[in-house]
Amino acid sequence: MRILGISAFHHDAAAALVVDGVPIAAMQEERYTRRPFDSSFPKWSVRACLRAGGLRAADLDQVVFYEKPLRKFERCLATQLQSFPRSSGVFYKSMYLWLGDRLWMKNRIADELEVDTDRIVFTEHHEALAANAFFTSPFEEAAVLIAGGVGEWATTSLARCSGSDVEILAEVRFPHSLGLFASAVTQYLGFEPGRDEELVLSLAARGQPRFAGAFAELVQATEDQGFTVDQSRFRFAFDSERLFGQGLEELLGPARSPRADPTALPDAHAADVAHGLRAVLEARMTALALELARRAPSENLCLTGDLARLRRLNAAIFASGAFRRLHVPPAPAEAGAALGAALLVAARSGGGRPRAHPACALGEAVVPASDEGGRVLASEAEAVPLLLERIEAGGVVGLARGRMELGHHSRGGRVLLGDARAEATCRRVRRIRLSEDFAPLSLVVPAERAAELFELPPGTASALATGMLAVRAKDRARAALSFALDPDGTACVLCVSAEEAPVLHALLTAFGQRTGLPVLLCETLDQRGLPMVRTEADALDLLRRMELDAVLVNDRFHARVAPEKKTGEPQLALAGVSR
Amino acid sequence: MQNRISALGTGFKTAGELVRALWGGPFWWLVPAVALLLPAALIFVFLQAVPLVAPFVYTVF
Repeated sequence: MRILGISAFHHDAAAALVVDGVPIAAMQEERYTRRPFDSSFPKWSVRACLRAGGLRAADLDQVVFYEKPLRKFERCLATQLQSFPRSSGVFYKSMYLWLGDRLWMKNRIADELEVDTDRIVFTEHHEALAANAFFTSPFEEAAVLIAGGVGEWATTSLARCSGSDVEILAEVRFPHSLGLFASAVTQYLGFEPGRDEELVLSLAARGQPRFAGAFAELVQATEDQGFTVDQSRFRFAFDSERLFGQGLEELLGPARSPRADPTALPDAHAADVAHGLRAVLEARMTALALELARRAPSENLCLTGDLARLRRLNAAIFASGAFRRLHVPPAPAEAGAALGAALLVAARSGGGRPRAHPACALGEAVVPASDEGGRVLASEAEAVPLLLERIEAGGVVGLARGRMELGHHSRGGRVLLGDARAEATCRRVRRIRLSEDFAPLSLVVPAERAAELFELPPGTASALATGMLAVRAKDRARAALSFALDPDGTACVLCVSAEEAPVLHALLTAFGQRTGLPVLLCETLDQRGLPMVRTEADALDLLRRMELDAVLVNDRFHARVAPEKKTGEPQLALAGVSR
Repeated sequence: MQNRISALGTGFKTAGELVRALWGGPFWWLVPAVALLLPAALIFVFLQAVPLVAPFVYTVF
């Protein structure tokens, strides 16, 4: 059975192809359009998926959309009318969008793909998210906690998954949403909602619990371990542009202007607000995890939804001790939901439990540049000394190999690497990615040596392999990696194996032999405001414009060399390595 | 013409599903509002399917 899953019109539009229960391809639209978080209909991704499967749209048995538009319209109309007259400014725009386009999703999909409408089906948003988490996990049964912005009505759900079954047990409904609450506070702090929440949680490590009382007032627990969000201080129930209201500023003080100074550390007030946000998220999510353990007794926990992108929060939830093993899919939000929806329909079609590889590297291979340059390496082993030499000299190198991964954090296929011990390298990596000076950095270690350097909670191997967990550094690593770690000594760590990422693993091993510390900075090969690189040309563009020293694209090594000075201005050019 | 009729048919089907779902649930009170909004929306769907008129749909509305 050939099933195409589609997610679109929120953020991170994507498409995924599943044939006979086996994921063949999964692509994110932003990689093709080069618009970060692109939410438009994923026509490029659909084409790429069909190409990967050797299919035409007419060959598809089913096309599944990741949510139910009619229920979502019901929610939008009801909340806009209930919020009137506060919603009057956005009602017209919203209805125009819904009545002109979104409501007729079946027509839209049929037109775009030229398939019969009777082949188009819809899943519940949270069912698709739960399926994405469970079917990419190594577990045979699991409890699943889904928490994010909002789908149709549900903002947070507790689910139980077993075999090919996905069952939603309980839900918290809109407008009470921890995901939208976190986005609103992120916007209040002058950062970009939907993208910078992890930055804000990292900032929390620098704050004090000054606003604990205020945040306890904003999010209150209910008797069934759910929660309510004080709507009088927020606008997200009816306005997707400005998420917080005057009431929040009365409670916490004036909002920080957007990215007031990207290089400056936000003041103590911002750090204290971030601390309050992190504390209340951890408290509510931990309570939900304990309630989930009561309703769906299991040793295995899967976390998914927008909030599962927050790796520090994942660590706090698992620390509740209610579960023994943890899995977090690499694309826990909308992009993964396209894959989840397709896997769910496959499971419900009677084909048994579908199983996707946890890394979700189901995209295209790196598209080679037409203008070939650089040096073709005879073997993978040849790449290691070339990369190592530049890293040891304080350089930053890029690695683009294998199939593209779903999600915004690369698991080794599209990464920037540098020496995590050096302050200058940490600063360079942040400059390359145009991120704030205090932005948290991720690290990569060989899976078999991670326990030497970090305090790894037992049962987290799966979450560490997808890089979706923050862990605390041991004393030895803490002293050496102080510039890369958060002030509380934690960092998001990706554990790689020789089978999954042979070049990266060999490079880490070689670096460990030379320095005694097999760990490198590991950020996604992208630049703020642009998606992860897709083609060799994208990688070379980064090499030309940013402070990268070299990039390995498949088996082709490109290095940056300084040409002879012709004028007073230093210039840089690309060249293959000659030695 | 076949496509236009087919698009309109799917549109009517979707509208019917929406009204039935609302009427049977806690948001039955939305039905009058939807009844006012849907005819305009269906005209929109139909006009979009007519190649000559489609570019002017947004001007018309």
